[in-house]
Formats: sequence, structure tokens, C-alpha cells
Amino acid sequence: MKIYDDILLSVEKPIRYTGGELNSVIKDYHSVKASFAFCFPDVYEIGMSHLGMRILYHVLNLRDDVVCERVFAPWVDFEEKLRENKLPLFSLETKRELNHFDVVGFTLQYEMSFTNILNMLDLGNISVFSKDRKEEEPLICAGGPCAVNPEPLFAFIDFFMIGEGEEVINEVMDTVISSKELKKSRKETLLALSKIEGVYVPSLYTVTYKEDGTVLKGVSDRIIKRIIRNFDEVVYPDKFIVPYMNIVHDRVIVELFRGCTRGCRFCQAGYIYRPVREKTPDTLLKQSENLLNSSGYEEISLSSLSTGDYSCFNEFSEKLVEMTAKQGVSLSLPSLRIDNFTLELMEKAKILRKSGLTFAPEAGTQRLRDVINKNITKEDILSSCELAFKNGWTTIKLYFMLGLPTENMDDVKGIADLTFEILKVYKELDIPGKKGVTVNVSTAFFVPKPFTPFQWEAQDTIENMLEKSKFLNSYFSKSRKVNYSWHESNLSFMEGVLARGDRRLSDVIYTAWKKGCKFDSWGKFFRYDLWMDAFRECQIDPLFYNQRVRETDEILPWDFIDIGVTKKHLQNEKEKAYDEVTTPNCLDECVNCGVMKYKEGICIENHKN
Amino acid sequence: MRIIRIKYKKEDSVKYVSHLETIKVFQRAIRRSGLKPKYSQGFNPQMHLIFGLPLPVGVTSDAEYADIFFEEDYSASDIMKVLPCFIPDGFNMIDCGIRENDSNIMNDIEYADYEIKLESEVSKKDIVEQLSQLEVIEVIKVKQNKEKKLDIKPLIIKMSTDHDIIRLYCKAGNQTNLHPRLFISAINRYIDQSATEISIRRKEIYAVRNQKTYTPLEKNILE
Repeated sequence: MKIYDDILLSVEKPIRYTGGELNSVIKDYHSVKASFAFCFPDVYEIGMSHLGMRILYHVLNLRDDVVCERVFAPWVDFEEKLRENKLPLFSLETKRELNHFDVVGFTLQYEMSFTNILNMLDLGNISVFSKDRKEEEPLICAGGPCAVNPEPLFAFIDFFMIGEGEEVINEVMDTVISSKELKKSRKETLLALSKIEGVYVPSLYTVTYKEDGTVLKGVSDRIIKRIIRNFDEVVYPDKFIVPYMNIVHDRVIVELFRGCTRGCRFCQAGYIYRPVREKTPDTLLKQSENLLNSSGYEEISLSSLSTGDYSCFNEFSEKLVEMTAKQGVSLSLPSLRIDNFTLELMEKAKILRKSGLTFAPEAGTQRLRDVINKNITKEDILSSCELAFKNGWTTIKLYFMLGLPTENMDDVKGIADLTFEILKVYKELDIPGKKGVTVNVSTAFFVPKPFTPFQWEAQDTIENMLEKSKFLNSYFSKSRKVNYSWHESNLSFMEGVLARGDRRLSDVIYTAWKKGCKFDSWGKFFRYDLWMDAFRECQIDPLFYNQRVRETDEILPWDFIDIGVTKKHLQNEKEKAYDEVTTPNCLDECVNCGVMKYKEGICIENHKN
Repeated sequence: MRIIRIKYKKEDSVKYVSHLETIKVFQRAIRRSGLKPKYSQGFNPQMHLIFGLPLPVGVTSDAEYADIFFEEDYSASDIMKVLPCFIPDGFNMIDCGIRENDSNIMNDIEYADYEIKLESEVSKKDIVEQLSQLEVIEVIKVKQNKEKKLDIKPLIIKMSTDHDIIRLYCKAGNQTNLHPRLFISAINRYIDQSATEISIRRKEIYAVRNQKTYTPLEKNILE
């Protein structure tokens, strides 16, 4: 279909909708057997920054029998034009209408994108509820980190892919193609898909609840997440689509490893992506070179949950700096621990002044850091800051959370104390040509997530959240050297509800969308009042989901999913948290979290030096 | 060190790529090509590229120009053999030449030639005739939320029609510039309120030497 110029000229950034970027893939529809629309439920510049989409786009388009195209959420002005002119949502590559695809897949990166999913289905003329979908409508699927608790979206998604997608997505497409050829019905196809490991078809199960609202009988199968074995050999793009417009992460990205050994108790990603599996430096260098050559990008960066922990970091980063310096490409390094090696590296990479220095202590006192198992001491931070200041840094960024389990006002004050100690370090240093120092402090409100030791916790109340941030603000506003920012408490509240929701939230999400909720993660669009109206209308109490302490014997809506780490381990970790006892890094000592059963990655490799 | 002035077209498929975004397109193409551009010094080395008169978003063009500074002494044919195939579809590199002098492609431009297609109730012939009879053609130019009145008659050098297309030859460049959409707003104001843009294509831009006009790749401009 053609999108008319008069529409494009009347909206902001029409380049979001025109496609045609270098390395985008266009195939002849008559030559393929099935089509997949990869949908990121946010605007182009956000969605194009997502590495997962780049990987799966490449994986699917490698196949001769499949075509994969991209679809992003239209911005509000373009959506208005689409609806006004009765035009459907379409893919970027061939402007194909969304409901002409065999499979439409959404990536679930953050809970506050859920209303956008419904909006995109609606704009694509696809029945929003799975139960209403006709035979000829596309199969709707979803994957990504939030899929580890798929239940709040159960009513809208035909099937979920849990875990890493590179292999399961191909198995799914094989099944879709054979179903098409055998002219199987929608129901038969979904049944066939449910046999693939990692695929969860919600319509095959019923969930019942007790009087008190907790789960009586959950999903009756065990869905085992998919992981990639031999991670060093997993398929990875050799080409990146090069967008015309500025996107958030506009650079080549290589993925160093998946999972994390640190076991910070609040961090869902660190648990659900275990076991930790790394790529070799040779593989990474080759991938970097291929991507730089095929894109002409001026910048490259490294992706992982904790880049400084990559076992071959020193060797790899030196070689990468050499390669990028030769090509006039700049290297964007994430926050690293500051020591002599990294200082030398940044000197070589000529990025000494580029990025500020970032620390994420998350909690203001050692006590609370031990509770959450964030193993960073005040001494670490202060000595790193001192070294950094001596080498020319003048900006520090600190990330903290408010509302962590067992938190008290001493912990909150600890955030201010630590900040002022850093300022003191700078003040007392004798640095030639000394300018002013700036510390940017940012606090998020803790959201307990499924598959973490804190999945049973009650989220802090909005009242408390506001009181704590106000308290900190009163300290920081006195200093011109500190810039303090905090997340919106209402938004964190909503994230807390959806993250640990169950099937009954589907109705709430639908109602909220119907009332006009969309782009919820964009501050100016988030309508807390409409969400609360939706809860009232559906007669559901949001506090049941986020502000209730859950019993350890309660059946949690996501219990049926096996992510490797055992529930027992999470329970042990919760108890240790309350005892203020830390758990070592699994590189130092195996803590039997449960993923040893995969016999993959660092679980079987010995990294002790 | 060599300065190469390239000429390229901007077609329909990429007309929404803005001027700044276009600069990046070429920088990345040069990187992919393996040619060696000259980089600035300092902590944030930038490729040295100077683009001619910016093209408004939504407008296509037969003649866009950019000066690229290279480390090596490439010949024009060296560049033509290599660079065009690295430039993405929609941007069509058609020619290049060696810039021997100090001429600055941004400052040099003084005239532009546009082909404008409109949907209008009044015929194109009548539009042009009526406009040429006006002594003053005043339009409202909005800059940084401030409205300014501007008489564009002195900026219009020549108007003609070619079937249903209006050809506009006008002042262009850093000093005085007539934006083709301001021209359309004049038509709306004075002749036909309903006239709407179908397409605008820039056919050529011109520099001046010794009171004569030349295109940016001609000898008189480059040497």
C-alpha cells in the first residue's frame, strides 16, 4: 500500500515510516513460504535500538523460505492520520498491511509497553483478543524478558516463546510452514507449536483462583526456557540496518556474553539469562569487523549485563581499540571499574573525556547493599573516584534504588552521605587546573520482579516512595554540585503491578487501552488516573499484585516456567537477604542456583586465575 | 590531500531524509568504501565534508553537491569507480570533480531552479501570469515562533510553465534564499487558496563567476 506524501509531510519525522534503509531486506513474496512481522511496541527510534530485533531479523531472513519485516508503533500524530484515512498499520520494508503476515511477533521489553501492543493489533485490523481471531488472521506471538511472566497478556497472545529466540524461532517457522502446506486449522497449528520446547500456548490451559485471589491451580505443564548452547557459535548478524534518522543506540553492537555471575538479588536479567556463556575474543573481533565494514558506522559498543566481568576483557578490549583506531571508529565503553588498566584503555581509545563515570551502588549503606547482594564497598567507590578525578574526570553519575526490602531512613540518608563523601574526596585533592565537580544522582523505585529472590516482597507504597525522594531532595538541593533526579512513582507502581500480574490483568490492560492508554512509558502520555479507572471497572485491586507480601508456599502465576534457577535457590537467597548475608560471585564459588544442569558456559569452565 | 566535489541526485525514496541525516549517509558510505577521508584533529575526529545548499525535507533533486576532503590524492575517476556503489539506493552519485581552489560550496550558491507540481483550481499558466503582474508578493515567514513579513518578488528571477508544471528560477544560498514552499504560500495568498503541493524537485543550483552563472562542477567554479 502507498502512504501518501500529504500525510507524511504533515507528521513529525516522516522518516520513521518510510523504510528503505541500507541493509534492510526485501524479498519477493512469491518466493517465500511464510512471513513474519517483527513488532517493537514503541516508536522507530526506540525499537531500532533493540539488539534482539536485529538478531532475529537476521536469523529469519537468512532463510530462503521466510521473510521478516519490521513494524514499529506509529507516533500519535501518524496514528491519527492512519485512523482518519482508514489506513492499516504496515511493515516498513514493503508497506505490507500487518494482517497480511502469517505470524506477527512482539518483543516484551518492558511492562509499560503492553498497551501499545493492543494498539498495534487494533491498527493492524487484527482481533485484539485471541479468542476472537478468525482462521485467516495472523498468529500472534511474543517473547523477550517480560515473557517469563506471560500471564497478564495471555488473552491477547496466541503463543509465547520463552528464553532465547535464535533457535526456537526457526522451529516455530518450520511448524507454521508445514501447517500452511497441510492446510491445518489455527487450533491444530497452535497445538503443534505447543510441542516445541519453550513455546507456551495459553489457550491450552485454564488457571483457577482461590477465594483469597491467589492461584489455586496454575498452568498444568512445565514450560522450559530455551537457551543457546555453544554460544560462541550462535548466529549473529554480519549486517546491521543503518537507519537514516538518529536512533537511541546508533552504533554497531557486539554481544559479549549472556547471564551474570554476580547474583544481585533485585536483578531479574541476571537470573533468567543464566547460565553465563561467553563468546571468544576472536569471534567478537570478527563480528565487530564484519558489522563495521557492512554498515560504515562510526561507533561500536559492547553489550552484556556486566562488561567488566568478561573473562577475556583485557585481551579483547586492547585488540578492539587497535581495530577501531585504525578505522577511525570510536569505541563506546560502558561503565567499567576504574583501575589502571581501564584508564590506559580509555586513553588509547581516546574516550577519556567522552563519558562520565558511572557507579550503581543501588543502596546507600553497606548493610542494605549486603541485603541486595550488590558487592561494591564505599572504599571501592571512593578510591575509584579518586583515581578518576586525578585523571581528569569531573562528572560522576550514581544510580540508586529506593524502596528496597528492609530499607529504613538511615539507608536513604546513606545515599546523601555517600554522595557528599565523593564531593569531599574531590575537594581535598590537589589537581592542577581544577574545575568544579558534578555528581548526578538518580534514584529509581524498586520493582520486585518474578524469578528473583525478592519476588515475594511487597513493593513500597507510593506515599513512602515520595517521602523518600523528597527527603533526599532536601539534602541535595542545597548543593550546586549535585543534580538529583528520581523516577515517577506512579509509573513504578504500575510496573510493579503488571510485572507480577496474573491472567485477570488482561481485562485491566484491555480496559486501560480502550480508555486511551498508550505510550505509557512516555511521561507525558502516562495516565495513572485512567489505569486506576480501569482497575475499578474490572473490580480488581492493584495492591493485591504489588503491595502484598506473598507466602513462600503460594503458587505464583509464573511458577510453571523453568528458567533454570530453582525456586529453592531464590528462597534461600531471600532468607540470606533478611539475614544480611552475601552470596559469592559464581566465578568464586558455585552456589548451586540450578543452572548447572545445562552443563554450559562458565558452570563447566574454570575461570579461577 | 585532495578535495573532491561530488554531484548526486536525491530521489523519491529518500526525500524525507533531512539534511543533517544526509551528511551521515555519505560519511558512512565513505567509511564502507575503504577510501581514506581526512579527519579533523582532537578528541572527537570528524570527517571533513561540506554540503551545498540544504534541501528541504520532502523535496527531490537532480543536482546536489558536496565537497569531500580526502587524505590521498585520488583522481575523479578513482572516486567514480569506487564511491557510487557504496551510496545507498535513492541517492544516486552521478559525477565528481577535483576542487582546486578555495571555493566554498555552501557560500558560493546564488540561484536555484525548481520544478513544482501543484494541485490547483487555477491553471498553472494563469498562476504564473497573475504572479508576474504583481508589484509586491508578500508572504509571512515564521522563524523561531516569530512571524515576519517578506516580499519575495525580488527573489523570483523567472517563472514559466511546462504543461502542468511550474518552473521557478530564483535566488538561493546563504545570503538570500527563496524556499519553494514560501512560493507556494504566495500562490495560496494571492491567486489560489486551494493550491496544494504534489511534488517539488530541485533541478539545479548555480554559482556566479564574473557575473555569469555556472553549475558547481564547471571548470570556472572548481579552478
